[in-house]
Amino acid sequence: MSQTALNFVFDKQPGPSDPADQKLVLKRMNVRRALYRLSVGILLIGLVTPLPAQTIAYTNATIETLGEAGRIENGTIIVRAGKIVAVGANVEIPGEARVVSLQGKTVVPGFVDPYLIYKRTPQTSEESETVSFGGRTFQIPRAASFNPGSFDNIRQSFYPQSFDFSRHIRVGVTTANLVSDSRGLSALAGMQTDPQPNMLIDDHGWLFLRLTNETTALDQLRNALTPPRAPGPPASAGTTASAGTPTGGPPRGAPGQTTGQAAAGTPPQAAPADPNAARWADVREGKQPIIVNANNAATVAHLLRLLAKHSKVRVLLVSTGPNVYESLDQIKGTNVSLILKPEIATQPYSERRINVPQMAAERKIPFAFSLTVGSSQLDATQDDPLFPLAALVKTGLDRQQALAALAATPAKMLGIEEKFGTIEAGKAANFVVFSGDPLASGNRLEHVIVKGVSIHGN
Amino acid sequence: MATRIFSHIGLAFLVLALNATAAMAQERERGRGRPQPPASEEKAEAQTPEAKAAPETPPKKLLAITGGEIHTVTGEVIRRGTVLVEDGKIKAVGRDISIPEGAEVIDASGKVITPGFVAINMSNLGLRGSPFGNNKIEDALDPFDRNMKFALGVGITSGCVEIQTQQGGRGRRRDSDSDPINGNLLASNSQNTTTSNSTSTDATIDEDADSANDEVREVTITELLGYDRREGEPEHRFLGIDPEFGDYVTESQLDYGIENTQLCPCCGLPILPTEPITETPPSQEQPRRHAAIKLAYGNLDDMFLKDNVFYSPAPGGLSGALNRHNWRRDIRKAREELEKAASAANRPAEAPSATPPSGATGDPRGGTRGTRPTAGAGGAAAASARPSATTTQLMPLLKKEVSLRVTANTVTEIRDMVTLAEELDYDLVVEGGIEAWVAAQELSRSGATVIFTPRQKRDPRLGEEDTSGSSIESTGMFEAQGVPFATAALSNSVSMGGIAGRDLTSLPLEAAMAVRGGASNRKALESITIIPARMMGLDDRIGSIEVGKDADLLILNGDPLDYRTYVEQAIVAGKICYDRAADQVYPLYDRK
Repeated sequence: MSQTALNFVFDKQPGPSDPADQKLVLKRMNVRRALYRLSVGILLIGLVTPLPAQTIAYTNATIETLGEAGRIENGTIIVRAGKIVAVGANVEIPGEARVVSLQGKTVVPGFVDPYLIYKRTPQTSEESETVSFGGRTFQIPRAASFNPGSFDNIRQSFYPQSFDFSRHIRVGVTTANLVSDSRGLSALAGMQTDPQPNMLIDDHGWLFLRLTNETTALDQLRNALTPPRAPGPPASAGTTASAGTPTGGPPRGAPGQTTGQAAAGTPPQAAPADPNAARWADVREGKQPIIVNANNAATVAHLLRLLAKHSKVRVLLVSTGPNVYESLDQIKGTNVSLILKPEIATQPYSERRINVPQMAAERKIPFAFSLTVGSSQLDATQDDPLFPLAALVKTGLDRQQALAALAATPAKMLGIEEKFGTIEAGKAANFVVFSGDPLASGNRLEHVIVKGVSIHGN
Repeated sequence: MATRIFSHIGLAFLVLALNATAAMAQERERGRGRPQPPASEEKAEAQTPEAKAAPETPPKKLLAITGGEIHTVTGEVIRRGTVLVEDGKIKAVGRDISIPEGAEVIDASGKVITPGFVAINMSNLGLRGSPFGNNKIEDALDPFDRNMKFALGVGITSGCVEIQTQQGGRGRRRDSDSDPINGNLLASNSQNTTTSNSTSTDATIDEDADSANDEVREVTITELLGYDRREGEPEHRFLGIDPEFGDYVTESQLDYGIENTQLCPCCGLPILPTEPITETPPSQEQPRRHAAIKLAYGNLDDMFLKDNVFYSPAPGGLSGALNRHNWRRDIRKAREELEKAASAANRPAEAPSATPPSGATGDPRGGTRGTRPTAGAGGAAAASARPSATTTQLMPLLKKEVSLRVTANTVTEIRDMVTLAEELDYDLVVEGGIEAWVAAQELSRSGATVIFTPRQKRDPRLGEEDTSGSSIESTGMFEAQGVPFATAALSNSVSMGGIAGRDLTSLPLEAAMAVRGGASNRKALESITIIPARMMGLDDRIGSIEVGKDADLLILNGDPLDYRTYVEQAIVAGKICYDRAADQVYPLYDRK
């Protein structure tokens, strides 16, 4: 019963990863039963069959629930079938439960990344294009202007093997909203050691788009937010590209403004109906948020100006500190929430440092962090992912709000707070175990636990 | 005949390339079908603020600036007066003005109040990206451009920006009828430009050049090469491998025709001819595009003033016999169109006030509506026969809603421009005007105005020492002869490098130089406030401190034309957009 070694018992989900790196310390169970369980576990790994519902009790941990219970010292989390059954300081541990002591560790909810760029489109704004003619090729100069890109339906094109999720997993992301860097419909994914198509959760998806302050780009949103004059007949869905036209129907008879594929010139009624029309209607009504990536301060200003006419629309604005800090007073009191990178920013044209999340918190603007915005950051902070966050907290950001911005706030923004974002009974047993206070330097991320089992250990 | 075909090659090829992808072609279609959305959008934008204001009626924002010496520019100087601002507009100016309760008060005792300066030439300011093609200037505005702070720091609160119209490749023939103002033909991609090129090659001096058709013509390889493919000749060729380079169509050959392009026998690269020898004249250059913006830092809603504030031909666009001929023809056509529209609108007696050709300056709100004649004048006539793009562009000029802004520096150029303006009856703004002092009388008689930079220098020509070259006394002569002039700085952008005192931030200094040249203080101040505002047709909104105008005000710590003077606060549309103490753009020491 020594506490010196890493003392976890984890049943690995069947998969290629080996459990050899984990030391097993068995507590509170007789040897026979333990041996039996162990043999069953090995058998299961061999058979590649799902685990039966199993009860695990994580005990003696400091738990940042991010929920109503707040911070629990010496708390216990009971997990069954991938869900949290009970959390608290004085929770009765069921007899059949395997007990894992987390003495001295801190547990925080698994991070919910509201903006994980799953798909990057290659740069299309080339200076010239090659045209083949009569068997010869010619370079034709071409202006680099805003290209709305094709509509990416992440769910439809999801191919997890093509993407390295391990970098995101090891910083503690357990649930991620997968987007592309252009526009489309996102998908919510739960992290696994072995990415499979089934990692997409239910049918969650949100519209997202990238915005610049060019007319073509702004028109995308303007047209989409203007309700169609007359409800168009529900025609059959077009191709993915034209279907993705974010003009919720063709409001002005100019659907071609937004996509290169839509048949311009045809009368509005004849254009294929947008399968996302219902989603756009929901966006206009504020029933679901739209995720907008605005890449400069001017674009943020243009977006806010547009939203002033559509006050119901809920926007999750993906931006950087320097790009939003001058617009914070305008954002205050609107339906705009921020998705930021956790970093101390520099005021533009100045050497002054600014803590934009704190400035947002002062103005009561909801904000969430995306830990995965910069890939260099992903590599640099793999076992200490909250270092930049700790800097923000040191310089004035409220600790609870900072932690909440990693899990509870983004879950709430996306409307998935019923399942994710806090350590509370009934929610998914996704959490991250740190060797101590996650915001104190020197403490490392030790385990990322999804549905009650560790998918990553340091 | 063959020559003619060859001259088509460039366009034909590009036209074909256009067909290559459906997406591209559709993009062009989109460009064509564009004119409707902006109109409806404008409408929507115009409606919403009103609709919003009616039910809520938010408390009016009041600002009072008291105790300052107010240079109203159009009126008298008021000592220890008060300017009262309500919701971004000037509500009252004078000495005995009671300050309403709840008003924010700025004590400006001992300070000087002037209207915000208007820079007639600005660039790289308040815009992000290039608003050419489909991109509207309203969408390209950047309210957080740091350069605005530098300009505000010397008192510039609004100005005229030149917008880059996209130019094609070197030597490309451009269509005189593509329409950068409405932005529907020049749809940001070169494809559109090249499409319309198919008409411009045919545009000799004939009168039918205006009947532009955007038809994409199919071109066969035979047509392209000028002869049938010889038997046994390979269909596919590879540059550098195939020895018969004479058969290749290179880009320069596309531009200049095969006869005019030779390939280097050593390297195979084209030897460009110095001048293309074609039977068609070069097409008319695109006019430059100017828009007026306000430097309302951090306040996007107040930034846009007006698009297309001038009709401004490209430099040299009105010189030479051919250009003049085309210009007269275009003006004549536009005037015919205007009269046709006027008579058509008069018949139903629907809106007779909108029709007189010499109408008053535009829309009082200064929106783009005033510059779009098809919207206002005679919908029936416009629908029956759509005027060509050039004609549409020229309408506001003929209605005297905008002035012709043209660069002319020598006496000859200036006199030519004056003669043309008098003959064709439009308002003239001479830009540059280095030798305008020689022709001051003519300028005065014709009512032309000059954009002038007092420190610009040019040596006189040999033998014409008394009637050529620059003169520091120009401004004095302008004032004596009654030629209104606007002062422009030596450079139109804010520069952090180079020699101090030459960039846009030297604008008030340049006005002081006008005083040195003999102009009165008053005229010099007018030359950076009300005169440029009038040139742009915005004198109902900016350029002076008068009741009802926009509250673009400066609080200065000294005389506006003194080189020691600093702007303490710059107020744009009633909001403080620059504060010397807070922004720390300029040094903070106090003057002794």
